[in-house]
Amino acid sequence: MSEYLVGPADEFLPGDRRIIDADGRSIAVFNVDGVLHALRNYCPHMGAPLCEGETRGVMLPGSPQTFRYSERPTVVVCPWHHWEFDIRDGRSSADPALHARTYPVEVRADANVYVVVRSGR
Amino acid sequence: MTIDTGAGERIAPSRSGFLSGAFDSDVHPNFRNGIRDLAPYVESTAMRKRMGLLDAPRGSAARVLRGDNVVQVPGAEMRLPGVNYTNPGGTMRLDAMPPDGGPPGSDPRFVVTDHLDRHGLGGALLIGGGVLGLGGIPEPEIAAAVASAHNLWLEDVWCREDPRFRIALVVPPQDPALAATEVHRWGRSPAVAAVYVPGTDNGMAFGHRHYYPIYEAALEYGLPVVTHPGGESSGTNTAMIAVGKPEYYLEFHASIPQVYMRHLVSLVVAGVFERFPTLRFGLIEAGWAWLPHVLWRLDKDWKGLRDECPWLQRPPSEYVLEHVRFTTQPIYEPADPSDLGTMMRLARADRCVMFSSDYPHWDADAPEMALRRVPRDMRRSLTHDLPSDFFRLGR
Ligand code: FES
Repeated sequence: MSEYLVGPADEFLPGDRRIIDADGRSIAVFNVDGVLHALRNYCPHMGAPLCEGETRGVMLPGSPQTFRYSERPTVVVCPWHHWEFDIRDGRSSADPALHARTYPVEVRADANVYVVVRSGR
Repeated sequence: MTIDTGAGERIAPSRSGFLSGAFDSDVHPNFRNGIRDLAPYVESTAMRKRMGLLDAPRGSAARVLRGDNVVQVPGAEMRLPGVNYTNPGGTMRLDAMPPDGGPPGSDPRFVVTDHLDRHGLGGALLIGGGVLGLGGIPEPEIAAAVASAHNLWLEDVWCREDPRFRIALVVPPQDPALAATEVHRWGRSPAVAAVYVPGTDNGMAFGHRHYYPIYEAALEYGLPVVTHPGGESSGTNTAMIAVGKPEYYLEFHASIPQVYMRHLVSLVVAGVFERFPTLRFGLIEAGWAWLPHVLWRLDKDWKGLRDECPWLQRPPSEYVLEHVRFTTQPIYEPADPSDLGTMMRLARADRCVMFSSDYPHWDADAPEMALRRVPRDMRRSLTHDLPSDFFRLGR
């Protein structure tokens, strides 16, 4: 298990994102509504830098020809083919079997943010 | 809000791998300032007036145009038609944005490092991203003037940057005589690899005699003819789909192959390859996984309908395999990835499909990832042998 320092927690505002290099693994930490989440910056589709894409809300499923949009910015959109992944659990909006790798994020006693990577992940 | 990027891990380049020296049959150079990028290349004052570029700089001063330095009468500037459907996420790869700003694909140097060098490519066919909708410009003379200026721009700004960039010479499908003039202007230039007839929707598929002057001109110089989607749903072309026009971008985009199935069938049945026995025709970004069905059905029907087209001496599929080439992107992603090889064998991809990325569009393929499921014994024909033969590379 390894831990990687992201930075001081109080500099991390809602909507912020930081991308860190974790021994060759690129990992992004997002602040979604005050909660921190970490995702691998690597799209499970074709390997794009997923976390450099737009973060935004989601169009909610409904009956045909109706549109409802939730503005809470809970997904990141891949910069290549626009597949959406939920920042909170890495799940693809379109294919529940597909997900981006997620990691635990912790704010330690030293008031810094850390990402925890279990070996091999 | 802070967005701090830049530490992204990238797929390792394949310098020593199977892409080394490969030819990419579909890369899109884009304008920085729209049609104003073409201003230095439009000589005729009348055409400058019609394109709203009277005040723009003249002469080969492309690099001066980096800034937004053109004074313009508001509303007078011509807008180049693009697809009439809006992709809610835009049509460009966000990570392909040049470091000093500007649209993806607008900085030749960055395309060299971000695409050609990253993957070790030996060459790329430049299909102008700003002129994909040229077939939807209503006025043929203006379409021809835009095409001419665009070709000069490609040579001056792109091919000068790196000789691996090769021109798909855009010509106006609206007016084949003007198109042929453009081909004669450039036919012997080593920078030109193909004559590019943008996809269009004028009631005449590519087998129609309307287009023959273009094919004749291309043949005079041994150049292949290629086409690419975009124009069918741009500008004055609105209804690309036979059974009713799409209402959503998704419908439009997923239905593109339907248009190219029609073009392919038209080319073969009209006898284009009997009339022009050395013509090579490329359907770029048109798909290929549909070939087993369309070719089988063409052959089957032809056996009972030969009276209609007695000029066809051979089964239609044979003309296709001999004369027509398709491109890989978007690579098919069957549920069981190992089925890709089966699909390719059914489509006889080793004879008719060439590698393409579609950089920097949103639906581009990451070359190494896209081709990794292609059976090893089929890769080289896609990446090297077929494009080399089709575009007469190195000749
Ligand atoms: S690589 Fe991310 S959606 Fe295709």
